[in-house]
Amino acid sequence: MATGVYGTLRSADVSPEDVEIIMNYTPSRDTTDNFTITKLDAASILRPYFSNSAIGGSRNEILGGLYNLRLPADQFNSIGIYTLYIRPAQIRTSITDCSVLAALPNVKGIIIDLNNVPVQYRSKFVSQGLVGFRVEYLNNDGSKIPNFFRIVTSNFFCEPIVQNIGNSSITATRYRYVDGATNLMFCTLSPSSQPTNKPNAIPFIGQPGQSIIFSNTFFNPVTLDVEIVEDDIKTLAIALYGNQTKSLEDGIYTIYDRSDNIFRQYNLYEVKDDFNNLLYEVRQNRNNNIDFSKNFSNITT
Amino acid sequence: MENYYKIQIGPQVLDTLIHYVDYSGDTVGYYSSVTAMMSGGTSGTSLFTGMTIPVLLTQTAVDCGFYSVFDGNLLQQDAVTNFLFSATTGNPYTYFFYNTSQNGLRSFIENSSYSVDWGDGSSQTISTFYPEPISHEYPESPAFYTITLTQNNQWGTISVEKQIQVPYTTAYDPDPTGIAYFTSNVGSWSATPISYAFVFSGDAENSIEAQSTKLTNGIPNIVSGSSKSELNSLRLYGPQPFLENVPVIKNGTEYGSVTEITPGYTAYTIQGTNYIDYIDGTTIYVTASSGLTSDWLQARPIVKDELLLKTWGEPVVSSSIIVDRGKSSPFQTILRIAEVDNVGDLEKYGYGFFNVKTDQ
Repeated sequence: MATGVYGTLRSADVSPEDVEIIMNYTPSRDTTDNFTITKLDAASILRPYFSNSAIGGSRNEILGGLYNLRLPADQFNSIGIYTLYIRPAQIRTSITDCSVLAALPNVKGIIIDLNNVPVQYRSKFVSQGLVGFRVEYLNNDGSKIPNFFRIVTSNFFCEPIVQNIGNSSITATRYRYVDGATNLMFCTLSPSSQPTNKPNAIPFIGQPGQSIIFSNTFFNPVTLDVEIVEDDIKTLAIALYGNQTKSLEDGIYTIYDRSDNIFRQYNLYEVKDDFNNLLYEVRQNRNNNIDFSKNFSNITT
Repeated sequence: MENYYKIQIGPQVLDTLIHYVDYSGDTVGYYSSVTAMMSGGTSGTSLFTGMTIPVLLTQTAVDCGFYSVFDGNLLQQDAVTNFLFSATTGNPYTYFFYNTSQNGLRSFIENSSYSVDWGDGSSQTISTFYPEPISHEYPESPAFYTITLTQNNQWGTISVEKQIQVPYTTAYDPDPTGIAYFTSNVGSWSATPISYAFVFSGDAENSIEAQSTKLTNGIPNIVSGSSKSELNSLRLYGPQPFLENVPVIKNGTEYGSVTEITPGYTAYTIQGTNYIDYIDGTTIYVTASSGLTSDWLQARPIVKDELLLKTWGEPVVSSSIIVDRGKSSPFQTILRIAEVDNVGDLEKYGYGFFNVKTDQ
């Protein structure tokens, strides 16, 4: 809880290692029912821009916000529509325990065993390294609890201690913070305190053994719709306004771009019946069978 | 949509569609189709190996103030354990005690037990809360006593002390909020009382002015710039309007003086700021600043501990606003009519409205 809350939309300076890129390909807009998504390696294809002296920064200073995404040739190999979903990297693990601090029994949290954290993400699990991360929860059947998340407000290394509850003989495992690195991490979440007007309504923060997903909140998810097309306004302009030649000797019809490069070549011919009556005039694309003797400069000079 | 971007890639943005061959000594360029290029590589991969697109990543950042594990509740510590007292001059040895601890506000203190030490050797366990009073009779001799309210809760002991004077006279307490103590029953600081006084008396001189601040520079900064001439405000009566080193007095204090008159410039000082009027009509000023000096600070007692409140206090922004018209000099003063005592003042008073001409 805080007063005087301010906000802004800032340029993200997230590391590519903290980014996940999900891709879906479809050849056309009308075949999108059965889609298969794949995951791209963000660390190798996403690169941040860096400052330089011309804009008042050093080459080591990330520009922020602007990134360059390389479209890998083995994935982007067809005409069609590629939907890229760029989201914060997800760290999948499970809750080892849900408990309270021995010294502060009203401070609740979840305990994470670092051995259950993927190796590449363990560097995040240091004291206060997860503050601001979002926690989402999975059901036993693997489905995700919808519309529900918690935010990590603190995380420290901890160790369990067994403590008597009140004056009874009942004992419980509670936790205390330790300075040295252990394999257990106590994460406090928000909200986790019961409201004043209903003290027994303790917010859900998870269950021991439950699978959870940690996600950083370093940037907002983005969706890119990359459409790779055969023709666009440039090719139409070439077809309309480009130089053209027609060889009367062999019927080769050639269209050139603004620099007189050969854009397309066609065979022009007629189809007649047995009585030499004209049935069709045909223009047929020669595709890769280019007659380079029809170079525009050769013809016009 | 802010987080949705559509990008089209086609021949317009693909230069590598064009290939070149040598034909009879001439270089001839020709196009491949995008389709052919997209799958023309090894094992059907694309020949566009350097195709990139820009991506904008942003973060919606919200300053939540101060992350606290005690989220969701904002509570002053003196609401957890506190008391009030009162008395009357009619019965100056009878004091009324009110336990103002907010027992029902937070579940973690509702099972606490309370006791009061009256300071005269007697004490008692109490279970009443404000507005129900508890009265206590003190011996009928002038004395000071310290009333202590102690709360035993599940994680330790909190006590608050306040001093009273009997017989009760006109109420005057220089420290009405007293001293709060906390004694933890766990951890390294177990059984060690920790206290804080609302009015701290540990400094030899208890004022902010006595403390050092990094906002003050021992060697002043030089502040300079261009301005409009202020020379007329130093104009003297008589045939010679400007004389070197003749102080101009305003409102009983020295306002400034002309320090040097040369064919190229005139230098003068007004209230510590040095001005130079050059012959080309330009004016520069130079002054020194030591930053935020101690006399800018006002000593105010800190009555709340923000960390214990579990939040940082709201920023208090105060500003003295002066609306001035026609101000063209950074140090131009605002004059009232009674302060106008020379021709320069009259021009300044009218913000240039009065077209004052003097015979030289």
